[in-house]
Amino acid sequence: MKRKFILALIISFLGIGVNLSPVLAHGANIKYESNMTYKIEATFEDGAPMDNAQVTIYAPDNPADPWEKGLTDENGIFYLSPDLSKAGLWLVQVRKAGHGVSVNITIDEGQFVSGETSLSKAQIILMTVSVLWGFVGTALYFSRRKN
Amino acid sequence: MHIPDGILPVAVSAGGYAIAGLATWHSLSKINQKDDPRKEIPKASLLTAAFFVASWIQIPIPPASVHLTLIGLLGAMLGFYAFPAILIGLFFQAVMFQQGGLTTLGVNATIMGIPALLSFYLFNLFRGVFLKGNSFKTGFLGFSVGITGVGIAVIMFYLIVVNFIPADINIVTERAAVFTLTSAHLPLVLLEGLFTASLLMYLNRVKPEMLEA
Repeated sequence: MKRKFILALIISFLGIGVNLSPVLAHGANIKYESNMTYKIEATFEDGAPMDNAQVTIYAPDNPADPWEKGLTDENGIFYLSPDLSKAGLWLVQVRKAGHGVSVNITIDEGQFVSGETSLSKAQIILMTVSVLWGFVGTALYFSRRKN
Repeated sequence: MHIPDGILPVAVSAGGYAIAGLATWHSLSKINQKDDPRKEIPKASLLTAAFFVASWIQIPIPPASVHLTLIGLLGAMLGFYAFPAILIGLFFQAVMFQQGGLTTLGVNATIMGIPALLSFYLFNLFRGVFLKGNSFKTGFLGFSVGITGVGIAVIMFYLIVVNFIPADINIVTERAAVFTLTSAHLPLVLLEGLFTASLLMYLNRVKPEMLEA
């Protein structure tokens, strides 16, 4: 009877262990990735800024569709934050009233750096079940019948 | 309620280790005085597993979310085994999931283990009267033990974190944040009281020998 009770307790604890909430209680997590902003300054030949000019950005993996579209501000400045995971040549086109200019910006392979501190759900489940089994095994060992 | 690494000054962490060391030594010497120290180990081991897993069970209390700690329950059911059980549970939580920390293991063990021992003393003091009586009396004892355990732990957590804020953190903001978090734990205190009460009532009816600590 006592063995059955202990077995029932063990199974219920394993059940709790499997029903894990995906959120850690008051644990904290950091995720980081590199981010670079390019200041694009467009001017006419005489030095006047290309204010409110149309900016079109093309990513290296899709030269047909624009990755981003925008406008320069009154000083002809546009800030570009490219996706650093897409290495290669980024095309930046600025045009206003029929006048325009384009430039290629190179993003190197090594520029994208990222990481995070948390574990994946599978890791968490495996670790929890391992620890729980350690406790359950201890309980079983110490409750074995003495010869 | 676990204090992670890097939050407290070194002196406080060292003090925590000293107190936890003393409490562990005291608990182990009391355990050693029993006729058969190994007899309670299966119960202690399974309740340590419950303590380990309890922090996964999130209860959303806006603006924060809290988790059951089972401090009072461990104290009542394990007696002096509660302190080593909580210490071991916290160690695994820190190592596996970075809940709490290793430098703050002593402090966390003090915050949770000492209330467990106090819950045990409370339980022991009134067990004769309350366990033999009707269910309501057992439930009342369980409720008191539950709220004592978590309540003292929450107060200790608040006092330690608020009084040892490092100089390069905005004190006013941090104090306000800690106060908000601590207030969110007040419903938890009631919840743990109710949980401990119902569990003790059940065990006293079905398997009273589990409450012989």
